[in-house]
Amino acid sequence: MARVAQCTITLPLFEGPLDLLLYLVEKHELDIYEINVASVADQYLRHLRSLEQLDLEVASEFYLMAVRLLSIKARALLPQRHAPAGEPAADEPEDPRAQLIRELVAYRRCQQRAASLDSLATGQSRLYAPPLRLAEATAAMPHMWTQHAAAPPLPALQEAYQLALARARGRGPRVITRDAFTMRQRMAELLRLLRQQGRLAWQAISAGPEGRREFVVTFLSLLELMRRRRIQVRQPGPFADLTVTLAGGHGNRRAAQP
Amino acid sequence: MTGDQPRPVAGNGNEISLAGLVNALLFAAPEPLTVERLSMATGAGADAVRAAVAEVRRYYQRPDAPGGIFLQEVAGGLQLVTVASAAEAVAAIGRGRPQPLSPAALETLAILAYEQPSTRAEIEAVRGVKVDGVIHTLLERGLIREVGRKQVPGRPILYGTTDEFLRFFGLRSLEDLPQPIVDSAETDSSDELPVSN
Repeated sequence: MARVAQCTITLPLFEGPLDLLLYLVEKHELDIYEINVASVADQYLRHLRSLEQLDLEVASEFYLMAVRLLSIKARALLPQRHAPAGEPAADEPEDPRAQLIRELVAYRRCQQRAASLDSLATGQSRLYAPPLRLAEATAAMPHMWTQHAAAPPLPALQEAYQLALARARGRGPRVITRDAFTMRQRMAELLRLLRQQGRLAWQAISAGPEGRREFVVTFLSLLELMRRRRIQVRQPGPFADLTVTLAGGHGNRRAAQP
Repeated sequence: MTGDQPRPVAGNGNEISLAGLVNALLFAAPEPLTVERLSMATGAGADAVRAAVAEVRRYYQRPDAPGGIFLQEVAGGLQLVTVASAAEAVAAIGRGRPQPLSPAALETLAILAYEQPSTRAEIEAVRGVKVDGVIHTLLERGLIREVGRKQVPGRPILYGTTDEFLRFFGLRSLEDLPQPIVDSAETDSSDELPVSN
């Protein structure tokens, strides 16, 4: 299977201890059922030492396998205590070497299947079906949307933030004065406006203060007010503006806060 | 089309054959359409729709057709897709490719697809590494889903593949999964393994 570099940080080259072990077995063209665990264990350890930077969590799995290999190796070196001639006892634990081989075989099958899935996906990725256009998707959405209308999902908030940022960016060059603009002030101001006007459109709020810093403070203030359950933010439909209202309706007592 | 089916009428008042309508639906559909959905949208019976689908398929396969498009059967439905040899040109006009899956994701899917439903622990037992992160990614991409809980202590979540999985790999159904050639020894039961070291 092609080992494609991904954004996720994985061990270079090897997916896990079984992957490494299988690599060592196949490199020497050994029959999986006839492997000499003692010699494979030595190679495995040598390889493990050469992998310098190991993610700790992943490393533990690799070392666990090293321990298993060494234990099988040790077992092979020790004189066997043979069960009395005849059939082996039923409750005898499975031979650890046989168990390891079984795991290797299962993992190899998994890799083979993964490889054929990979080539299927590559083939299918070359076939293009008609795309769904955004405008249509939006039109088709409201009926699905209404069930979730009560709480705007985080992506909607993020998008509103991005849109407002884009609007602010489009205003051209200007002098930026850096003044004290705190969340406390902004929160008080927002609450005052809400008490006066009952409701505020996100569009109006975000269009108010200029500058990235002020914008961030306003946005954080809104989030903080939401967290304190002082306000409610609703979105009537997809891509619609957010509406901010005071929460509950039982006043704005500070005493109600946790 | 056969004359005894009610002929659907196009918006401009001109008559359109059932095959023409099916062709239009397949062209405009944002996702593969099943025979049932085609039947519902056209008002024609399933058999008539199947005949129309066959006619559409033949149309795209005609030797004198320009080619470039064919009718693909995927995830129990039908969709019109561009041919693989046009892929580079289509990409050049801005159509993206889905992000390829990591080896870890492919291995996890390889286990799930063939052995589903499976728990996380069962997948980890085969891969020999933790799969939490991979499971999360696959759930997010809609390739797998939770299908229930295993009736064992802890009631772990059982995972299975989705229709999106079939679409991603271009499979009609799970029966279409490739069966790689396995060596004969593998099919033997494990208690016949050589025990000598």
